[in-house]
Amino acid sequence: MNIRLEEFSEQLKNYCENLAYNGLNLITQESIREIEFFLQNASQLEAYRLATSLRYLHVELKRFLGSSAAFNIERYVFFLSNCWLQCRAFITFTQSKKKDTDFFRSLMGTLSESKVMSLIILRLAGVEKVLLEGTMIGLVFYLVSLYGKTRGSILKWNLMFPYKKDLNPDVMFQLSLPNSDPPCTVEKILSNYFETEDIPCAIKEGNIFLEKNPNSKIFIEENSDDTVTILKLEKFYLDSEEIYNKLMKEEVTPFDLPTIFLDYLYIKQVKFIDCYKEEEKEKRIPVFVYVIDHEKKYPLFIRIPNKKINQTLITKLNVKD
Amino acid sequence: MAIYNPDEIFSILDSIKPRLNEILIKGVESISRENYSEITQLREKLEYMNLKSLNQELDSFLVNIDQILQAKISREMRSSLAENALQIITIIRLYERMMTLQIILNKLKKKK
Repeated sequence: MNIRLEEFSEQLKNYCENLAYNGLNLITQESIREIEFFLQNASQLEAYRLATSLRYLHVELKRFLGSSAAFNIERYVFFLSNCWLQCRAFITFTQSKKKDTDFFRSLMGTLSESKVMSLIILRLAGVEKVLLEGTMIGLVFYLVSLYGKTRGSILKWNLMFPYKKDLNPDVMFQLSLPNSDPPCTVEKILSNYFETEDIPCAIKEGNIFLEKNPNSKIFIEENSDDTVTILKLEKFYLDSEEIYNKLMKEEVTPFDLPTIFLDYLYIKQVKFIDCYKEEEKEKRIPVFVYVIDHEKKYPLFIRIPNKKINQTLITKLNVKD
Repeated sequence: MAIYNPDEIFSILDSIKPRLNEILIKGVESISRENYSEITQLREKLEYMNLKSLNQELDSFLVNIDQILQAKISREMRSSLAENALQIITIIRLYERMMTLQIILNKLKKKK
């Protein structure tokens, strides 16, 4: 496997360097097919971390080729350099005499062995909608654990499905939640506390991932009327020190939801000095902009898209439409 | 050793990044004398800041660009130039991350 991984890494490293040298002038459908081939190989080799970077690179290259307004240069360069860096790490690892297996697991993005948790009480803290064109579609829930050993930790729960043309992440909120009691739709998670029984958890780089299990049960607490998830977090001691520890443990990029999520956490500690609604013709969804006073001399701006999921938060923050 | 304001370093890194991004989008052969002198000026600003690995990589990048501008580029040099560019991006990311952590850490120390 190591020989194949080394060859694969060499090929992908050269591909990245060619892209860097030639720029995007020579990009064709053939280049897209090449990257799809790399993506398949990375998945077969179970190099999940690399596969994730390749997916984003694939999306950006397709956007560029389709002259899409969504193409983002910084994002493209970020994932190009990520792929290149990981290939270099694989090559160095396979050529080194002393093999550090923990480093290899971390490079591959492999989860630790999962443990079944008998009971967890959870509250939603954030949702990421994922749409990987032609590959996968779904929702990633960021949850705060309110009970037991995991109390105060952030847990991630992926509800991912193979890509279908008519399916979009918004439609997925209306799908029924597997093994829920009483039976309900995924949307219920947005506004209710819930409990899970016998759900496997695996830890990766300080994050706890909830895994799929047909035997896991989900109990929805019907009477919870509190829908502002963010304000609840203060109760669970997510302060700037914990945020610092999180930053120490994982790479946070401007494109990751956790960055936005951390910004949300900061909101409750600061004073709002202005807020207004920003509407651009190109953007379909208006964005509420919160201008925030903090220790620095310049104000901090936080943008919250005017989406259904953010409505209660927007209302609570007293911003008039 | 002189202590530099993180904002000053961030501002130089922020000036280098868009220039590198442009090169990676348009291709290395699109580099002009103007780009070369802009990057050289930024490199000079970094001279006395203690960012050794970034300075070394930028030096090597500028030597390679100079060869391109004189149309003396070989196949090996192409690969080396692409490596330089990607390496600089990686180093900038690393510095940004380290400085962000340092800023947060200083804030936490002040609070205590």
